[in-house]
Amino acid sequence: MNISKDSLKKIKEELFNKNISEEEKDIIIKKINQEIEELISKLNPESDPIDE
Amino acid sequence: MNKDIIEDLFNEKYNEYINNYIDEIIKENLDLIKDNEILQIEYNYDGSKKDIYSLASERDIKKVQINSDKNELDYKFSQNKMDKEEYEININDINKRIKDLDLLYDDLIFEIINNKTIDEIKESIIKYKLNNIDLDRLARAISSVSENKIEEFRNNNKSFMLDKLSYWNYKYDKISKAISKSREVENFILSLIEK
Repeated sequence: MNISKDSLKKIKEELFNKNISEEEKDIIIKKINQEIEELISKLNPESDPIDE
Repeated sequence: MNKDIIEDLFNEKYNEYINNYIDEIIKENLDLIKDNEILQIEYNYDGSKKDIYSLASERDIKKVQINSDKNELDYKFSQNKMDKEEYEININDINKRIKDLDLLYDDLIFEIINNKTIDEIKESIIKYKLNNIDLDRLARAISSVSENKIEEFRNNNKSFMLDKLSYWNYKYDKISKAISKSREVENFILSLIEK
């Protein structure tokens, strides 16, 4: 058995993909994007140059 | 905001979601643990997650096994039963196995420290009624996890420190809370050692 972070991560991703429907995944991705937006707005954007 | 930051945040959060969902998936289908040996490192057969002491001791046992493979290799080489090239390939493989093992166990132990309360962690340690030698070994294991995670953080976030200081601070703040908790756990373990 290959004992590594990657092998554990890979099996978890496989199980996640098998057990979660596309609709659920879309909801999760939307939630994550919303969380990211909120986080970014909390970080001080003025001190960092905006690339895009 | 920088594309790298968004990607980094997305991956971090996506993994958090996977980890949360996977706990439920496993609890509902315990055969997954039997069928996937790598899951047995993180989970008990009843679907619960292993605690810090179990993980630290299992890592020690696995390291002893790998070092025994190394000794066998050294012996074969010393007896000229293996040429230098083959020996070096095998030694590199063993060193990689040790490194991978440490990175994985560091991650799992650090995740517990990050997610559990200090009291939960203390209780999980007290219940084993460890002797001084085991307590000392556990304290050293936790100290090593903290050092390795700081080093890993530094290596993985250099670019953010140079370009995006506020994001680097955000990430550092997250890891430093867990490091501070792990120091508290380490001190607690050391305090249990009988003088």
